[in-house]
Amino acid sequence: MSTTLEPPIAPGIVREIESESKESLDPGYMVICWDDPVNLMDYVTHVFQQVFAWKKEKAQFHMLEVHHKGKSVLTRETMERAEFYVHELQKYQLRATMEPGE
Amino acid sequence: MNLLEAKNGLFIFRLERRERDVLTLVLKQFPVGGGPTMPLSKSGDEKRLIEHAKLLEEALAEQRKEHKQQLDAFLGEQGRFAEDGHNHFRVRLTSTQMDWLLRVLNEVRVGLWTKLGQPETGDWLALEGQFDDVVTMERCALFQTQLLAALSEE
Repeated sequence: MSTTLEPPIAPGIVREIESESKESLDPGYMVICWDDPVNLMDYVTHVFQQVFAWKKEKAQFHMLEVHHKGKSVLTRETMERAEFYVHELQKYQLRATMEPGE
Repeated sequence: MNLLEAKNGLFIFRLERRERDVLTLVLKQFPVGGGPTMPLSKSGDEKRLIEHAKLLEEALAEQRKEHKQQLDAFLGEQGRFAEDGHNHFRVRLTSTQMDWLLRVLNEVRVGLWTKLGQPETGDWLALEGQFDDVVTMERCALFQTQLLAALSEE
């Protein structure tokens, strides 16, 4: 005799909870670009487009944030990915660092 | 330096002889200085940061070496600047070469800025005895602006 039992929790919901708890345990690293008086604004936009494959609008938004606020958090990543991005940004001579997530 | 055509990732510029000479002169200054623009991080385990900073320095040194080799090949290539009428030349650049040229010009510019003590924008012209470096920085900025404008045209 076979019976069909309804699972106690839907699989989709379980995955969502696991993902949320992993996120809260690992805040990751923020990749930050800092303002400087030497790099051209359009050049900074170009670099963001190249490094992150962003559309121009998004790249410009972050460039302006760097310009007006002194810094912009570009992305939040694992340590290895964050380090990769900082290397790439510094290869373009931008002032970039990675800082532990808050 | 005028953009003649930007299509399918290929850019064609027309330069006056003087512009070609200035561009060549500026590019021949590469590399200027070197090293990271900032430490990898402003916080964290100091020992680990030193280790990572070393990796960053090595990556930048390797890139500088590659750029220098590419630059020598670029400037030494027969017909790189093809004659186009009296006192004018044409240069063809791919998207990849455009990005590379922007990087090289920027490295010269930032390198000179670092050499000058990283002054704020308004202070540049007041620097005594450093006028040549300031002019070279401005020339780099001019070429960069033209390349960036061309990229946005495509």
